[in-house]
Amino acid sequence: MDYLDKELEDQGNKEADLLARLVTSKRTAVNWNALPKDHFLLLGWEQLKSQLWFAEDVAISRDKTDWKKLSDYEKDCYTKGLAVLTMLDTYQGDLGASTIALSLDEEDHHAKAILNFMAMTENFIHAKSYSNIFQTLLSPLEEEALFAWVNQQETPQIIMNLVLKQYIVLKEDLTNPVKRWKAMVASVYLETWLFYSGFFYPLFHSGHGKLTGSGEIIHLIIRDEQVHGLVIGMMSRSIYQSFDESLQRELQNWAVQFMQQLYHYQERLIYELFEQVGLSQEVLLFTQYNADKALKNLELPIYFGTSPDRVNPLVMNGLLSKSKDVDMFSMVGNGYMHATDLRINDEDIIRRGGVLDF
Amino acid sequence: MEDAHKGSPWLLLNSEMVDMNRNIKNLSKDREAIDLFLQDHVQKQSYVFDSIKDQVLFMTTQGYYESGFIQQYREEYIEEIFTYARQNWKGFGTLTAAIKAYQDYVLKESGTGRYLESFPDRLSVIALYHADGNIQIARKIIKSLIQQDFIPATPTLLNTGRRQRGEFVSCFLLEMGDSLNDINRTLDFAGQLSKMGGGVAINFSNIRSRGESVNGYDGASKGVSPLMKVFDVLFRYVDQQGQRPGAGVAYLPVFHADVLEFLSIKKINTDQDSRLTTLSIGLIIPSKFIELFHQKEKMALFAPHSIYREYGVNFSDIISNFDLWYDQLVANVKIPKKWIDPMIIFSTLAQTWAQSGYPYIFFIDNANRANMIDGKIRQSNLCTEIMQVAKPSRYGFFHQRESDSIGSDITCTLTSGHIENMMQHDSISDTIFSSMMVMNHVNQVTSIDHVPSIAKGNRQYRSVGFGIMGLHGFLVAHDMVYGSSETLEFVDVFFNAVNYWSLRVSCDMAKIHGAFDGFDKSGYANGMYFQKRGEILPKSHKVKKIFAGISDLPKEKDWKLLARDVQTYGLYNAYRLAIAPTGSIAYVMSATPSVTPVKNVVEERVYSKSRTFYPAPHLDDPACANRYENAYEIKKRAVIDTLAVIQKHIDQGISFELCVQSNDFRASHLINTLLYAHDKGLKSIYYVRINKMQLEECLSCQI
Ligand SMILES: [Fe+2]
Ligand SMILES: [Fe+2]
Repeated sequence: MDYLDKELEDQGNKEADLLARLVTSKRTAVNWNALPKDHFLLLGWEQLKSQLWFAEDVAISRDKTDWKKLSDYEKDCYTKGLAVLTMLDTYQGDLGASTIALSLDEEDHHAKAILNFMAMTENFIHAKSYSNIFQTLLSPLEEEALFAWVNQQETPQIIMNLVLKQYIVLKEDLTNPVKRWKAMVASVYLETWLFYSGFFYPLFHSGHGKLTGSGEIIHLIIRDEQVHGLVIGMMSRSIYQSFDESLQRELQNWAVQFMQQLYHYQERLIYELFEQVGLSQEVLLFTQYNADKALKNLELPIYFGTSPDRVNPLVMNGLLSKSKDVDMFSMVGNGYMHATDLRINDEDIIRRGGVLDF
Repeated sequence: MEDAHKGSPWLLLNSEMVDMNRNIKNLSKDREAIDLFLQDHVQKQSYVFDSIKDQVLFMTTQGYYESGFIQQYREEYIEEIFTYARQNWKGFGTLTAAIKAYQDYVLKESGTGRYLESFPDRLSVIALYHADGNIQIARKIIKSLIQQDFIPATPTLLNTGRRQRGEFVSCFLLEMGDSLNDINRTLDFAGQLSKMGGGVAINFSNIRSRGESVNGYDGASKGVSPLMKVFDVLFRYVDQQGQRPGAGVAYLPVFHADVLEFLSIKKINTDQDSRLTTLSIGLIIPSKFIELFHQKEKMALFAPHSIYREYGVNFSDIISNFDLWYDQLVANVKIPKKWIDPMIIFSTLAQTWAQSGYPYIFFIDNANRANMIDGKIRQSNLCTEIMQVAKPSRYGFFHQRESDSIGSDITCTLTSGHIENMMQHDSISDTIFSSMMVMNHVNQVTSIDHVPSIAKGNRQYRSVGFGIMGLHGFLVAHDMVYGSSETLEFVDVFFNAVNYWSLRVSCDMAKIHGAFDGFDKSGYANGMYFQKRGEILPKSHKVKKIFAGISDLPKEKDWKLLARDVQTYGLYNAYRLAIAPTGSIAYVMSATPSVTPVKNVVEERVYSKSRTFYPAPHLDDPACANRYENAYEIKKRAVIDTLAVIQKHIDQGISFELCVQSNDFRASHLINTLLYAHDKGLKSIYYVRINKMQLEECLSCQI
């Protein structure tokens, strides 16, 4: 037989091998009625579901009036910040959450489902709502120039690649728990920390009552990212705890070094964007505060120790995703939810003459 | 780098007042913030005039003020009012108040944005303008305004005296017929009213349901939702010069065949094509519905056009008289019906409430039962406190406008009294007098001629709406809580007096200017209204003490005399009282909103030009601070019981928001609350708000 036949035969043998292995492994269907092994997964899911929103829910055309009054510097800072966020969200959706999902144990159906839901959120909702903002505030030419900027600019590219590296390394060795944990660290850094330098400026403006439509979107995104960072952080904890002490020490050092490395570029990015509006120092404090929050989600010691008091209170208050009081002639606001318990049992109804105890 | 980037120092001070959890950390920061705002911003940004005379001359010659009202007074009177206002103004209670007053209401120079008047000047202009040349009345009005006993609603506060101005009223209700002419004309009028800054309610009751015939073609009608979408787009297109989006609400009865579609149109997961973004929805609930629900009977949904063809009667007429009609409609085999379990309506309603906060609820029979004016109340407005009779119009083709039959539609001017100040200044009657003078003058000078049904209704009924704000703050200051017997006693006495004085002033006006058109057929003329009215005086020790300094509580003989005078002279206004939600103006007055509990003891307010934290009154006293329970925590029964007593004395409605904590959110709670509100005689429910707890509160505490 000639060379080609031999190759086909080899390939055929390999496929037969694979098939043989596959039929012997057992598959399981996810049962959402059985509690997942980690209770927080259900809570996280309930939370994410109850706060589901779509880019189109928030009317942003009213921002146009404020936008016209901004200086060119302010506009530049605002849109570039959002452009960086768009890129981070794009890859967190494309690669981050989905790779981690793929790497989890096969039976971790609940965790995989949540991660895939998060991945959808990043792309379909977050990235898309930034595009909606651009479409509202920018001309098509300006928009093109903005995307060209973020697709070429060195600093955001480096930050993105540092994070992505952890995902790609994991993708090539999916069952490796250390690589899985490191990818989770990268993910939490992204969700709970790196996004926030981009959130600062919109929060700052909506703190002053400007660009409140876009501000509303940022509030909704923050509400999501808070859950993402917390849930992935909690997933990482049990992996970390399964390591022996010396490995834990080694990995903790790695996490700090990784943070320092990212912080270096994060700082550079902040100077590039915020020096023109004189806010670099404030954003640096804000980003330090959030870096510590990311470490807390991972249950690692904090690094910067920056107290929330040092953060601009207008921005800080915007972080609290409490249900806001919405005006009469108002916006959707971030107070409404997809209801979870809407069944009405007849015996729960108070009939005539009964007294309301509510 | 520009100054503006650093953030305004007064906003920073204001936000330093609270800690991370929005609890008060240091209330004096807000005082500092007010001073800084007034010194560093207002003073620097204000135009300096040598004298009041110069200022008024400048304002009139430069086209900022109308000159007509200035010319009505001698020069020294104008000086007197301005001077009195400036000298007696006690200042703002919160930074939010100061910022709102200056940024939203005070007149600014075009181009530079510099302030051309102070806030006390603004109040002087209101007093002079609406006293219509009568200096005695101007003195009374300015006294009430300066001691912050009342404040006019936004459009009056903002527009009075300005040469280039919008209307003094911004609340409109339109009845809509079912013909294409009627619909098109209503669209035209709604657009015109929206352009003027109005919030417009539109009654969709008569619109034929999906699948009904059009011009004899069966199944051709598309129902209410596509038409609602058209209005939705209209209100977004016709905004207020880009300042604020237009606002409208569509009312539909729960017995309309399209009701389920209507209720779903605000849900988050409804597709964008049909989901409404701007238009709000309101559900008209006749008591029959509650009755069928309790009897566990199915209810019939009706197709308005089929009823019109059979009886020649509009569905809005049927719905406002539904107890009389329902059985007859059910028995008539020629009337098509859809049968449905009322429980399905309720669960759909609860879902929409949870997802969007809508619909508003209008208990039409409760409103009509208390109505004294000849005719039927058919719908409410965008804030669910206006409830007046209306008469539908019929419109002809463009080339046959002489065949138009103009009915009467509704507009309302509003002011609100500050309960705590009224009690402190012993000024219940003075406040109501001043308020009604302002509102009646607004009525006289307002004629929306390009919406003839509105102009006609206004001429005919001269309706006004005096409301109250600051009840929660007052209760806290006096160590009382919603729903307690003392509170019920207090509001019973207070609002009985409010009602009396509003009737008294309206009757005195009628002596001079005559009664409203249709008074003779009203329940006031035949004395029916007064049968259950009379003196209500405090009984308990505590409430007696609260009213100890009050000299104008009406006695039995006052009521008797009033009833006689009303029968002799009539009333100037068909409607007098309505308790609005008092959004913006309560902040200017640093009062708790309306008669309902605060939503947050410290509220975060986002407005077009600033975001501020707004502390409830009396937080400087730790005892008071501890007494606040917010609208989410407080028992709904306690609030409803209190509002029910108030409602007895209010001829129109009370805007009542139902606030629910997300962790005890159950559909059954909402439905039980609705049923209770109905049985207690409330006439409406405004938004349902759900307070979502913060993530870390609910996730981490459970793990
Ligand atoms: Fe995201
Ligand atoms: Fe995320």
